[in-house]
Amino acid sequence: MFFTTFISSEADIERVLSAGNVQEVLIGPELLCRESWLSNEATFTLAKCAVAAGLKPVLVWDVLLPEDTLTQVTRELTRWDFSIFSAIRVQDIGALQWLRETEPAMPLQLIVETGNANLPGLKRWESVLGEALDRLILSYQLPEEKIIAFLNELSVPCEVLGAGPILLFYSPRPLLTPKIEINSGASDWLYAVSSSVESHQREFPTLENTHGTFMYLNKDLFILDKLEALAEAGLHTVRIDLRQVSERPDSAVGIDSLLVAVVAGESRSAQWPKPAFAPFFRRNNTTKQFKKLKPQIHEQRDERCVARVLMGRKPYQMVLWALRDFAPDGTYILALPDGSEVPCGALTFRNMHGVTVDRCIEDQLLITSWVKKCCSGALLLIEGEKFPR
Amino acid sequence: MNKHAPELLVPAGNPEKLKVAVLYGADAVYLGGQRYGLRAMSENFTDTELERAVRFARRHNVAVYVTLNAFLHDEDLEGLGEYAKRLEEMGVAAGIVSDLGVASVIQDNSNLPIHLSTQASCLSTKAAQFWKELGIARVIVGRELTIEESGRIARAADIEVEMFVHGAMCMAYSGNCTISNFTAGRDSNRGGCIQSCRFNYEHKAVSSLTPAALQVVDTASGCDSSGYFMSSRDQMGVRLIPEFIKHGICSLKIEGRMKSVFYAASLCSAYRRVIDACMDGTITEAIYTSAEAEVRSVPHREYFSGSMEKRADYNTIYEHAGDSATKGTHQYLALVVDADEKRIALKLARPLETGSVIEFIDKQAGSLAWKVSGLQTVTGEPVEAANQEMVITIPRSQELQSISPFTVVRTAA
Repeated sequence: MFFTTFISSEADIERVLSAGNVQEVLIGPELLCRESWLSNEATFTLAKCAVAAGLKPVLVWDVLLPEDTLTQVTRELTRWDFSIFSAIRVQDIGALQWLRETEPAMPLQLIVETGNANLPGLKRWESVLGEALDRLILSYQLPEEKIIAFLNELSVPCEVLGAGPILLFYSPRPLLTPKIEINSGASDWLYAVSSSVESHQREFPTLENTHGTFMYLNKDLFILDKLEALAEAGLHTVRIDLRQVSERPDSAVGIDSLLVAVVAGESRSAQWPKPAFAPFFRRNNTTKQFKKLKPQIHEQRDERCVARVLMGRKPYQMVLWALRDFAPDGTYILALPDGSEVPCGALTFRNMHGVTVDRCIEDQLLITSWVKKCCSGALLLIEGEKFPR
Repeated sequence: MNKHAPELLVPAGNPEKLKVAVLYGADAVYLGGQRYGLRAMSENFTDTELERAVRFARRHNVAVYVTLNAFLHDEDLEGLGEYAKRLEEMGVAAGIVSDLGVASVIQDNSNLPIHLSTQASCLSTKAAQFWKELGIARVIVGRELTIEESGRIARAADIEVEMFVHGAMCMAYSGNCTISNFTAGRDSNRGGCIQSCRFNYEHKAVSSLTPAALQVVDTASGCDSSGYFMSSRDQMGVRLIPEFIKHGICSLKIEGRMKSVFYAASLCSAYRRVIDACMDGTITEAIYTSAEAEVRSVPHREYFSGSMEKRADYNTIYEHAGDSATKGTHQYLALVVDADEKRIALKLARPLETGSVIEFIDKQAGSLAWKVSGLQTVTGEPVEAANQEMVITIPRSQELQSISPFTVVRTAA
């Protein structure tokens, strides 16, 4: 298992070399990278330094690019010599396609952190991109068990975030600009902590730069103390993102001591410079609440369901709306909005003229006698299979 | 000018909304089943309801698209192949999909055409070419694109391009917001979004995001103490219909499966009139004005043109200011549920009294104002007033002969 990290200075290269077990570094120019201030020239200079130091530089292209921007950017990129890079890391599918067409020999590392939480999808990426796919960057919302299952089924090397910020929100719009009147920081980026009552006043680090606005969770992700099973299952790379614990011009402050601790099995989340946890590493229960929140009555909305109650007027009548044609000679059950059922026996239906109907027609208003507990939204179900479909 | 008429694609959150959308002039509707979609808590359609809905829509030459656009985990994929096959057999025109795994399962099990959801953030010609290569029939492009860019994608990638023309929008790149996942334990990309973008946030400026900097609030920056910073204004494209037509956008989608029949009827009727008038060359300022009035009648956040003309900027934040927040000029009163020669039956959503002025949203010509001369119960007993949730009848005079079931009734707010 290898480690990778973002770098932005020669001092970072020194730190990485001191760590000893990093072979690859992530370098992103401001043009292509969400969280980088490096010029194109500085990017190439740094990549050359990394190569000279025996490291493999990977170009990070993780911004999303609408049509016109992609056109402008790729116009610039046609002048680039990518051969210094060992691979290019990309999320935007337009960028991916451009690279497939223009740099077919370049190994691609595909960021599949948004969505892509199922095996058929990951296997499809593998088959579509074929030899060009160097690595899949998996979602940090996957539990350990799931990552291991994927590792067992995929042949392409995979990477997960081992420690670093959790991105909550990525917008192309500059959203802090109207909120911060004067930027007194050292760079042209805007920074804030943003909190809301509804989020229990947790302070989310937020930044705005040329690519838009990014909001992060108030706690970082940290699983560097839980890597054993993943390593055994064949995880190829673990990413450590120290950009938000480093001051410019650096991005990898502390990588050396951190990795020494990780290798020695002594790394603990408490030692990470920010509050950290492993939110979904044991399990991802983010759909657990759905069942409770769903309307209870949906299971009865099947072929037995012939009408919906519009009004119950105690003790006079129940007014219904026919949901389909039916012969009114059956016995009925009323399904209440909470999902419970009330037997109502046989019913006689009248139309708006007060005339008893011998065939109920879809969308017809039906009036029948009041049934205990009937209320707006309840459903009338026909019992048995006596009616023609 | 390319004179191919764009399809008007309207949300249908339940069977009632579907009928309203169809009868008010939708060319196509989109809806969700009980699983696989992004509106997990919504009523949605059971299989039985879906079959009925497709039959109804097809009788009116209206296409039905089914949303299968959640980013599903393996365990969520159970039954999807069979479901896709059933949708194809029912006559569903396409599935709307975000996730490559979902697309793969559908393609392995059926011939159901696939439209790529806006959740997949397809933003460029290159991306559209990639998805086309994978068998995607249509891309619903990201809301960050202009009409002109989207038209270029349609031509260059030779693929159908659908755009949102109206409604609420995510401030984030769709599919790139996971606030709900980490703050509420609900997966926003599997239907559990808690709309965190609509919260009021307090901001404190800091000099960077390092641990030390986060502890020191930068008071010199003039940072607002609070405000809505990621709540987007609503998109509205009434006057941009000629641009959509000119650039060959094949489908114009209205957002809002969770919204009311009032919303479906008003927007459908407004956009229908404008599209038809643009196509037959009869568009006038009066039609635009009346359509704009119609879309302002429903509850909405302050409108803007999204990124349809130019890239949305910071001035597109909805500040939730004052009492006008999410209000329209009108409010939903009732739905016509039946009618005979003499009476019209209304299912009320609000109280109604004799003498009140109500407006029927006409399917063709805007609205028809009407003073209620009398109220009766469904069994014919006269009453002076009726409560919300009641079914009530009003006399049907000559002027109301065109009113039929599923007509929506509103009152001034």
